[in-house]
This record gives sequence, structure tokens and C-alpha cells, in this order.
Amino acid sequence: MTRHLQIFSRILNVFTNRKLPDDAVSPSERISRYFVQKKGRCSTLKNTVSYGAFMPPPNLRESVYRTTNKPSAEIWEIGELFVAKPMSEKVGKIKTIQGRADITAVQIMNKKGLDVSPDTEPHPFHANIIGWPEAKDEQKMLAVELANEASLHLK
Amino acid sequence: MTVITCPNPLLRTYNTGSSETSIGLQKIIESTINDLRQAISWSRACEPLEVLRETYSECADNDWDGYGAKAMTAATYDEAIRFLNSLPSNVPLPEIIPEPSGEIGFEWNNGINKILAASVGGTNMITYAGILGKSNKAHGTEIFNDSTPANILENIKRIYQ
Repeated sequence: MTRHLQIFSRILNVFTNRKLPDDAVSPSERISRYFVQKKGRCSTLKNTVSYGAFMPPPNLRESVYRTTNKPSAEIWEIGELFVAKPMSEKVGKIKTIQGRADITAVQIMNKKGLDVSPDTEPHPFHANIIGWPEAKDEQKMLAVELANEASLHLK
Repeated sequence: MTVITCPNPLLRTYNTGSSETSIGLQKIIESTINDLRQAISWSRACEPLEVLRETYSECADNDWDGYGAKAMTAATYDEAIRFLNSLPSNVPLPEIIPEPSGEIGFEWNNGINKILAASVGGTNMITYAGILGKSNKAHGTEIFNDSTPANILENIKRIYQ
């Protein structure tokens, strides 16, 4: 019975164009990577994203947000509340979102080994880019490729 | 014989001599270097070093980015200076990129499909990756012995062709 309800709910969501946060990420979704500093993350002069915006953290789970169909103000608000604010508390300095790199999920999934995995903490539309290789030159190659295809949005 | 060298005037001179004349000569050279640092072209060259210094001070503690980034070490900073110092004057200056691994990266970006990234981590190794034109990628590691590896220089050249 529960299984049938889940299927029904999914069908309903497709018709109402509503995504469940724990749904698998669809290839056409927009994925946003926020940053709290411009230095090393983008070039405002060239309007490009730097590879530094996509270099994975030591745990190889790169925090991103699923922002398809969200109004601009809400996208920035998510960044302030769920990225900048906790970061400020952690490092003991006030941090604000400076910009974000947007890319579609398929552009990530097309890269060797990478995938976007939903992770509803700390926000229902939070996700992680996973599948990073261990070798640093390979990580860098993927980060360069993502930066090459991402679009820059400054706050 | 006394040898006083200054491979790149941005940093320091090396003096193999210890006589008064030699030390005096070194002082004159250093004073000249300081004067030249004020020149516009040299000021431009000093900019990445200033950014590098700021980056190091901002990233000297663990978790500097709030995502668990590793601290940059003094060895990494020193190697990054030596790497910048080793770049020939005809090579465009890179952007400084702090990396979550604690390495210091350098980026040459000449638009879509023309990006080269390289980084050092205080281990005498350079890790690099780049898109050198459409469907043309390269990545790997090179030993760094205070001169820019030919492979890196060749890749930078391809970015700006």
C-alpha cells in the first residue's frame, strides 16, 4: 500500500512539476555552488568561474544546492542562510555570499565518475557532488572542466 | 670568485662571497632592486606575491573555508613564491587559487576551453590540469626544482595561442 502511495505521489509530482527533495537529481536540474569570497573562486573581470570554486573538500563531498525553478531572491537567501551563516559561525568571522557558479546536473554527470547525490541536510534541496577521484591531478582536471562550463552569478 | 645572482628581482639576491666588497656590492644591487620595484611593470609583477601573502594569512588555519579545508603550510607558501619567481617574464601572471587540500593553485584563464591550473603543496611537485583548446585536455604531475617545468610552460603557451 505504501509503495503504491509513493508511486502515486511521484506521478502527481511529475504532473504538478513539483520535485521531492529526496528525489534522484534529474539531469536537467540547475545546480548551484555558492562562494563567500571572490578571490580564487571567480574572475569578475572576465566574468568566469575559477576552478577553485569546484575543487572538492578533503571528504570529497562537494556541497551544492538544487535551484531549478526557484526565484532569484530565494536562491540567494538559501546561500546566506545555509552556507554563509553556518560558515560565519564556524570561522568566527562574518561571511556573506559573494556569488555562485551555476551548472546543470547533466554537465556534472557527464564528467568521469561524478554524480549529484541528494542530501537533504541542511536544506531539503541540498546535494553533494560525489565520485571524485583520489588523484589530485584528476580532481583538478574535473574542477577545470566544471568551471569551464559553469556560469557566474555575482550577488 | 664572488657570484651575486638575482634570478628574479622580486625576491632576494644570492651572494656566494663574504668579503666587504662583495657584501657592499650586494647592498648596491639590493638597493637598485628596491628602486626598480617602484616601476610600473615591476609593481604589476609584485601583485601576485601580495595576493599570495594575503591568501597565506587567510588560509593558515585548518577549516579556513568552513568546508574542512586543510591549512596552508609555510613550506607550501615558500614553494608558491619560488614557483611564481620561476615564471619567465613573458608568461602572463596567474590568478592565485587557495585549494581545500591546503595547496596553492595558479590559474591561467584565457576564456572558454583555454584554462590551465597548477598547484604546489611544499613537496617539490606541481600538479596540473588544463583544457588546452576544444577536446584537448592534459593533466599530471611534474617535479619542481625552482624552474618552471617545460611542460607547464608549453601548456601556458597553448592557452594564449
